[in-house]
Amino acid sequence: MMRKYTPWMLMLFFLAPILLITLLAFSGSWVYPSILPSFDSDRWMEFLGSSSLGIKPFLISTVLAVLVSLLSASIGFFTSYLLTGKARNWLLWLCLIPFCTAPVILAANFQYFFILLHLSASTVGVIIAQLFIGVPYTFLLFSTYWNEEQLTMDTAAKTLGATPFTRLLRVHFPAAKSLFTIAVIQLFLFSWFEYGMTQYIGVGQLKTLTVEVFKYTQEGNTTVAALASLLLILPPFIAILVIRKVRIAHA
Amino acid sequence: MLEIKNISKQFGDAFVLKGIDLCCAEGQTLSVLGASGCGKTTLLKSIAGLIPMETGSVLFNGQDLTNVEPEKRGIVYLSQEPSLFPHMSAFDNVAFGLKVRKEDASSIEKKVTEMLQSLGLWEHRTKKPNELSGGQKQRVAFGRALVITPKVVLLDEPFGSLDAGTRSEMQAFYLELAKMYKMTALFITHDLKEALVTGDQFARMEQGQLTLFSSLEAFAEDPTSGVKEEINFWNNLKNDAQ
Amino acid sequence: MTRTLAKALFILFVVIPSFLGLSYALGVSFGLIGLGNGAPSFTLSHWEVMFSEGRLMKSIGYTILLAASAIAGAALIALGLLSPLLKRMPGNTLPWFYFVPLGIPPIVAAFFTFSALANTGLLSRIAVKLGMIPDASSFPILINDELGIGVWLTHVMLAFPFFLILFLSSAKTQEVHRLRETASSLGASSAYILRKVIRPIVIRKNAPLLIIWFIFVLGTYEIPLLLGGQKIRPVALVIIDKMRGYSLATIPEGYAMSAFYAVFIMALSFLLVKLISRRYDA
Repeated sequence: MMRKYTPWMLMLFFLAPILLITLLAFSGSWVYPSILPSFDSDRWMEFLGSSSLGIKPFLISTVLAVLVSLLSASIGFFTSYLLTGKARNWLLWLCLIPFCTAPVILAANFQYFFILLHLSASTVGVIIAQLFIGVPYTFLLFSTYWNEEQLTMDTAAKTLGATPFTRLLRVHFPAAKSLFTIAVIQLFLFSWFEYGMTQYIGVGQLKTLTVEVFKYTQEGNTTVAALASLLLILPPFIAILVIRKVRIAHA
Repeated sequence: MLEIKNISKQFGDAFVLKGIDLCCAEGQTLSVLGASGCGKTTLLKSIAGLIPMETGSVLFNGQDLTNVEPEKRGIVYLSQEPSLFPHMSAFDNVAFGLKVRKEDASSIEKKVTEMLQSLGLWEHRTKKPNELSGGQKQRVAFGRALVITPKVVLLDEPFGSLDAGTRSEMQAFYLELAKMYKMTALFITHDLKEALVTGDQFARMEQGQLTLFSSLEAFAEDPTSGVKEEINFWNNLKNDAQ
Repeated sequence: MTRTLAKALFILFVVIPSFLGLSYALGVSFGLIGLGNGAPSFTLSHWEVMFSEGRLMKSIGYTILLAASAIAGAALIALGLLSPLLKRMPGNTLPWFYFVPLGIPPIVAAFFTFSALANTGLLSRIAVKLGMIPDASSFPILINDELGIGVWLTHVMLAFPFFLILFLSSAKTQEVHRLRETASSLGASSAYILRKVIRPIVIRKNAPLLIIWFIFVLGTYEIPLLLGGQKIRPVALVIIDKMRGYSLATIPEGYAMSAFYAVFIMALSFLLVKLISRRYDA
């Protein structure tokens, strides 16, 4: 009997965070012990209208995530294509190092150099810091892509007269488009959701949506935290609704 | 004329190529017979400039190509796998080298069309590689190589992954193309019959060393070429049947 | 030329941050870089303090326990759901709502846990309405509690939907399908096949990803920062506290901790990878 309802219960469980957050986002107050908060649409308008609360952090996060995802994916793809050969295994181990420690600790370790280079508390600084995770990630993701088949294709293009740049752009990029897209989406989400590193390098100056959600939650400002959270999960949620059904295995 | 002088290649302590000399007249195919592991792929890749060699030089009509980058040598390497670009149609695959050379669109259109017609692939021009058969893919790979009128074509067991029927069809097709485009080619194979069918000149490669034969007769006479054994085999079979 | 550019980019974005960061941390911790040390001079005192204080070790132990138990909990829930879901899943596609949790970041998950489980949160309100508890103060403390139950629950909530998708997709592969057919032709019941064939394969196949997730939880920062207790804290928080310490004297100890932690995790990951590959070979 229970088994029959498992998918429905799962659906409820998976959607619960979004339902509760949406409810709280539209509420004026949530007096204990009433289960449903009181509805207040003015708060919503106030939030969206105020540049410092809603839209500005959303725009900062968007610009940051777009730049970080495109740059990391391109640099990672480019370097992983050209740096093949005997030292490859060493390079792969090097790429694992950033993942052996929390991003925030990684940031704390090189913060000194960022201060020296005036990169601390700046958008460029946060972008560069996030690339320190994004580039090795893409390099690792593409490490299995350059197999024998891709390399013979590269040889064919080479003897036909294509330079490394042409080969990358005309031959490999179109062939690797789907993996590249996956990398961009993953890196977009990484940057969009990143808190510790952004906060540490940004020194609280760079107010991304994630940084704002943290601040409001810590302040106990439930309604505003819920509104900002809703904006934060909006892009991935829309993407999922657009894709609708996802194939998980090849028949 | 393609001239190779004293090419040597070492991997670790082992010499894979031991001072190889050869020459191949323009418009001719030099068939090289060799078992797998004899160093034939290394030889071709060295000539194409894809792997560095310890000593030796590559000349074409007296011009030294040894230090010219592979993409500028005009020497095309064709392997057993057709290695077509999977995201391009047959037409675009053939057009690739011309586009890289920034030829104008109308000339590309004309050359590729002629090439596809002579390859018998015109009706398949819009198909992607995964919609083509093994033989068709290899034809596209030939077209892609020949359309840029390379100085030399290096063929590394090009029909190795095809079934027996398609293989002999492709051998006949190769002869036609070689004549039509006056190809200067090194054709490497482990198949004796294929070497005999495709070559104008003959050589044998063994353990990193190459022996050139002055004529088909000399090649057939040589005990290591295997021609005699083959003739004996068929004669014995005939005698047994009688 | 192009290759040189690739090398330069690799050095700039991979080699420099890793090595410069780690050498800076080591330099400060050994007193070679002056920072609250006065004049730079080699010293082991910060490392000695770190080991004798025992705070880092306790914190590493706690973090490993937290991460391992959260991964185990999430994996067990996902395995438990495998059988009822596989029965109701004829095709190879999953409906959209399975992917919704993947779009929820740690910070929003923490906010949700907070709103649902705090003593004035949703569950507490429901409990009052149902007459199970008289008021908010009788609701068990799950947020900012000493054991980190709220932190643990949030990690389980983040990990299990992801594991469920992974497990379902591995169970739907051709290979598992063939093994299922073979097992059933040999007379095994579907429950037996699930227990003895599907579950072990699914766990084995996804072991590397479980380890990656484990290492990700080890580095957890914002979730315990919002929901954790004060007594025992996960290692990232302890290190950042020391580094940002108000007394200059604790900063080098913070860097010693950071260097030790990085090397410790590298060794641990290496060990885990070896362990898995050996089990795979067996």
